[in-house]
Amino acid sequence: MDSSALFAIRLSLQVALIATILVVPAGIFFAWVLARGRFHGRDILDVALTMPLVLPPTVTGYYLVVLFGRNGAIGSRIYAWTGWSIMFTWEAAVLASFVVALPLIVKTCRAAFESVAPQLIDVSRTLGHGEAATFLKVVLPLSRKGVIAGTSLAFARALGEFGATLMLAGNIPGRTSTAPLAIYNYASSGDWPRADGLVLVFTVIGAAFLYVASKLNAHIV
Amino acid sequence: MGIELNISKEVKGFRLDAGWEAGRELVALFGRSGAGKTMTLKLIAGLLKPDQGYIRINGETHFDSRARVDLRTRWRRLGYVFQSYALFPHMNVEQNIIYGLEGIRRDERQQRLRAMIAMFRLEGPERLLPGNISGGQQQRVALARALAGRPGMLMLDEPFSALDMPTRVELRGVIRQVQQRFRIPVVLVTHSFAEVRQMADRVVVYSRGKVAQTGTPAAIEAEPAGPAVKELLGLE
Repeated sequence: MDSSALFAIRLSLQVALIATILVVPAGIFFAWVLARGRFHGRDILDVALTMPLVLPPTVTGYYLVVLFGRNGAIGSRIYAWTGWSIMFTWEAAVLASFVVALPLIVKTCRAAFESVAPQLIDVSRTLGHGEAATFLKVVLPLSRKGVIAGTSLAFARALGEFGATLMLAGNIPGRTSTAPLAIYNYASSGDWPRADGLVLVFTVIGAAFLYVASKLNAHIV
Repeated sequence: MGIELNISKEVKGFRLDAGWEAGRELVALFGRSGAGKTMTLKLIAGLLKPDQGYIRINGETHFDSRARVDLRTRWRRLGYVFQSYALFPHMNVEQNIIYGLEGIRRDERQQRLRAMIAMFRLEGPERLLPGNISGGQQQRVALARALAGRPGMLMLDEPFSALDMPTRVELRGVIRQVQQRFRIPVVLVTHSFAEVRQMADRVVVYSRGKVAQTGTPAAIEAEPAGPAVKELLGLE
């Protein structure tokens, strides 16, 4: 395996890891808000957070370009302030992975939070604890299986991200070409040996990941 | 000192209108399922909000719709034992008991824990999870947890429904002792008049969301107020 393929793998792991570290607390927060909150616009928030699950990743990527591009609603402000744009950087790949992985962790965590018996939350309140303490001491520990499952799904999704990354980060070998993009590049240019190498690496990582996740799940009761 | 309330609440077509008071004694809320007894406990605890009325406990107003007082559950400091005990399944017996002792000095906390474990005869299973102890022990852990924080009042929602007869008899004694030792109002929800007769100083008879009668168990048995109460007593 040559340096460009190794770079692609390293970049993919880096992007997926950072995106996962960021998306887990965000996902837990939104899941808790959706599970417990009674406020106007809850359904709209739920739909908005879930959209990347059903939209083609290129459409999600398109929205991100509209928002974060140099002329975008948010991107233009960042550019005016710092002179920096996220477009065509590896950070853009993190952002794309974050957005497509978010609904996976929100859905699994929300289901886990909602399955905690409401009486346990009530009794915690009668024992003098507020919402945050109850969440940290009762709800989260009882939902750890769901949180771990959601984290695994989010990481796997981030590692395999293609469409939104392509739209936002581009496909610059040695800079923003993550492993899925590199595989596409190799295959489309007929460089089968390199494509084979990366495909093999991904297959091994995927299988190892699923195996560890299932072992871990069996341990946590 | 004691409890004084007059509240109403409507939920999905069911309307509760309850007004009664009690001192530092054991009060039984007696009636059929769905008469509004558990709902009353939840309203007292602040887990549900009354549409209107007031709740005063030991001289302190916890809720008053006119004065716009609505103390949060966590500040009411009332012991509440749920029908299913609601023990935290991921915490052992000790951890469950000290859960309500946040913010108390460590040595004081340990001292209270030891006192609760001795009082409720929980030496032995301290480090076991709730799933690994008997129903009677679970009930005693729930009582210890509710009382460890020295609440101003104790509420028990059908505390014996999941227990066998010998354990029931034993725990009725335990709860009587608790009331005498802590000298707080104890409110017990039940649909068994045998239990009422054996335990309660005072009874509040609920019928379809209304208080049908209040008094001592003997007085109510001697003179049931109307056919509804008579019929409830006859269910035994």
